[in-house]
Amino acid sequence: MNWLTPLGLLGLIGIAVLILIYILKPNYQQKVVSSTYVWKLSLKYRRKKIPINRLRNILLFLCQVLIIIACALILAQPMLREEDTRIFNEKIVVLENSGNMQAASAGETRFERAVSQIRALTGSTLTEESGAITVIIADESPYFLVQRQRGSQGRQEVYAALDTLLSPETRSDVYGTADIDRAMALAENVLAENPESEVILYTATKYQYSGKVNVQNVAAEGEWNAAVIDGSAEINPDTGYYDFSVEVACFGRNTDLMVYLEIYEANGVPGSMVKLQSPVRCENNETVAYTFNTADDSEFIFSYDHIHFCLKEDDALPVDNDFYIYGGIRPKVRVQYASSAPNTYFNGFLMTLRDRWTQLWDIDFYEVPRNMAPETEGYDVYIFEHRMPEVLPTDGIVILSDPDRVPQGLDIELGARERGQFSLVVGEQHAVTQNVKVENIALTEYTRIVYYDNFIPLMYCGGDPALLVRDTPDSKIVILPYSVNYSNDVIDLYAFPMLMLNIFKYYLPAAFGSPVYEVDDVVQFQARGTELTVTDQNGERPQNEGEENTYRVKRPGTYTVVQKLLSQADLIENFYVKLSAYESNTVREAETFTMPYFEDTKGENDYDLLIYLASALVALLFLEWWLQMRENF
Amino acid sequence: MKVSYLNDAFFSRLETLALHLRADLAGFFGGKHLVKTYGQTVEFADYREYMLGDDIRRIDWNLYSRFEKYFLKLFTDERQMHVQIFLDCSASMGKDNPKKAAYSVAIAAALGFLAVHNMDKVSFKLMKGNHCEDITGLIVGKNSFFRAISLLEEIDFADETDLGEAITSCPNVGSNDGLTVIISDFFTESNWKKAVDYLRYKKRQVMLVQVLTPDEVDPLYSGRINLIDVESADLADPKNMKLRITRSLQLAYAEAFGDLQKELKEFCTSRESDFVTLTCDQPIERALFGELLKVGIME
Repeated sequence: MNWLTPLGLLGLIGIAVLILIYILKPNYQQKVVSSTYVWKLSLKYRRKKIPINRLRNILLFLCQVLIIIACALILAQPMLREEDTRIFNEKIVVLENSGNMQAASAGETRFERAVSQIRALTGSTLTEESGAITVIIADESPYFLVQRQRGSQGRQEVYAALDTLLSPETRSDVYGTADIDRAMALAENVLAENPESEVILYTATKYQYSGKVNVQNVAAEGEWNAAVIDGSAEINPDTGYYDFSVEVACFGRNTDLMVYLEIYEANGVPGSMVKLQSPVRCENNETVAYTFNTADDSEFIFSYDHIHFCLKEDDALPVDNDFYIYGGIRPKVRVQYASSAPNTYFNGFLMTLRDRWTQLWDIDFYEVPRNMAPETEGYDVYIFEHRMPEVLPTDGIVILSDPDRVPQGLDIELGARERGQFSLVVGEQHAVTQNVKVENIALTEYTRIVYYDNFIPLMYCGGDPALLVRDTPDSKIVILPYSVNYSNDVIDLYAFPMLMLNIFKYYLPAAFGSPVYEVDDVVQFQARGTELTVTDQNGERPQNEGEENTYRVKRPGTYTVVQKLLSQADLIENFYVKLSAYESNTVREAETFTMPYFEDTKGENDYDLLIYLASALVALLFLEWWLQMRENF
Repeated sequence: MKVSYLNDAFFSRLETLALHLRADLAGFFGGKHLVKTYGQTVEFADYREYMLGDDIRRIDWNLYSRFEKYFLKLFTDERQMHVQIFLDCSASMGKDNPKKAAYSVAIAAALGFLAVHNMDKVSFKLMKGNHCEDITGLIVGKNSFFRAISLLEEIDFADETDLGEAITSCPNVGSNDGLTVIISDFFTESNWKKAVDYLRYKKRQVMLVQVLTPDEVDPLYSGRINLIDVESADLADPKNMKLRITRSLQLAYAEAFGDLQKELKEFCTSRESDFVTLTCDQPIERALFGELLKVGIME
């Protein structure tokens, strides 16, 4: 039995006090009465009826002694510990592994410094048999590196696990943001086993409040970091030339940063590079924006392939000193339009597409003269209207409008020509008909397609397909069995362009949505060809996130996307992954994090006796009251 | 502070009362108590036939005219009684409780006043130890009575009293001539029954008046108490008792007290005597006009 408050046993002095009270109890009070005659008579009556008077007095005294003992025991808080399995001197180490921790000073990163300290802590903790250590790596998805290792064997295992973090073969530098809250949730699992464990967080972030968690700051004295936080390239509407904006910051030092800008293939000159530079004053850890106005610099940049901002500073975190913006020149899309009766609807749409959708495509539009046969290879998109080719092209997307015959290689069968007043109804839900009010489209003439296996009908006209699509890796075909001349598409100006835009977006999607991402972003790639490959600047593929062509980019730098088109040509595009501004801030401060729950220090096996003692005390008090009542009775 | 009930107002209230004594007492000539014997009063009692030697003036001639026989008219007799009041003068009657003493004296004086008010003789016998003291002598008439009253108020209650011995050894208790009143608390081991038997043997009408304090009827004190008997010589006297008075002991006291009262009543009933218990917390008027009237000793 253990006593939580042994001093409570001093309450047993009360027994001595009780005995003293009995001894010093006031003697018999004297009372003069006229006669004791009747009292003497009464003794006979009482003695007859209450023979256990003396026994009751003893019981009363015993009861009072037991009450004092019970009170003293309650004060002392006794507790039975069947078998104490708790581990004393247990440490739960939470090691932040983020881009911020890659900041280096004197050839050692914060992460490496923290690992060294954890190694030393392991050595001092696991010298005792009762010591234990748990290491949790707090990256974007925290995990246990080692869990509750004990003794000399456990020490070796912890050392080995720590070595894997720094070994060149197994090392995996992390540049994302650490999820400290989830790491603390993992720590709670260990705290549930041993609430007396000490939680130590190795981080470089200064927390204003850390509660019971011991925060070890591994930032070195005098560390500073210059970073390119963001950049953009926009055409100045006043000058018509590009302005290149950049946001830079210097954390931990007030200084003038020299910002360099390299513009590759400026104004369409292959292999050229224009270099600009400017000093930027950075103070108080604040982000400063600066714009390179190429017109003012007399460079007059109206196009570029990609640009590169960089800081040539010897700071703690060099990985954020570069910033690339790719995609200055979009992939060229060659479109052929062949029609026996060219109309302005296709022409107008394609020219609008070429002029207004430059952020997606660089469209090279070619209209085949009436007296010339259309090409069946060498284009990315083929549009045949009324006049069908002999052989169906196979190296691009084919759009057939109002076919008069079936080209060789197309497995459909045309039926009779239908005339009348027809309204279209929507078929299967598809991206091609998205936002197109199909029911508003009316036809007066169309060609029935009686056989169209391997096609998906998206619109119907009197039970016959009015729009068929096929999208397989080696065949991308759209069939409109009517002429826009016999439909109100042209009156409803919205339907036809939207339908065509959807076709282009669906079959010629952008491979990725933005030229710049941050570390740990999940990027979904869309392939317009038969194959898509993503590699980082080391030639390694990023981590797949389960879905096809969905990857998590975990390292900063330039990523390359290679697509193999239907023409078997490679389409190569780049995007840049940068460190987040939060991770670039090497002197960052935060309010707090989610505190792990520390349970009551009482162990699970502790058997509290208070309830029993309290019950006994109540019973004794009742018994004492009953005896007193009988005594007075 | 001395307590006294004896004053003019007290006695004036008693003038409307009279002692009601048994008619079979003999008494003395000259009183006002009607007795069974025939006398010379004006109150008719009976007829009897004329006998030789009777006074012919007492013949009822009306009856003679009707029955042609001589009948004499008999009249009741009125006698003077001798009322003896034995007052227990032990310490228990008032050494520590002047009110009880004054109450006892007042009862004695009231009964004495009723006696002299009815032309009876009164004598106050103070029982002390195993003898009686007659400090007032035989009192006849109110003047003598009021002179004696001052002596009663000077009574010293002390020591013990053996009721039986004191009464039986009294030299002049009379015989068939009146009422004997014994005023005491009867909390005594002495043989008071012997005294009653002796008085009954002397054909005296006997009445026991028990005077008690409220504490004696229902003791309210409790706890560890050394009961000092007021009649004890010192603390070591065996009359003193060390008691842990609990509720059960109080109940036992009540039971013992009840049995003692029952014994007194039953004995008095068996001896054709009257018994009345008075507590000195009740007004003296209630004792006189209530309790004593209830037992029939007054009218």
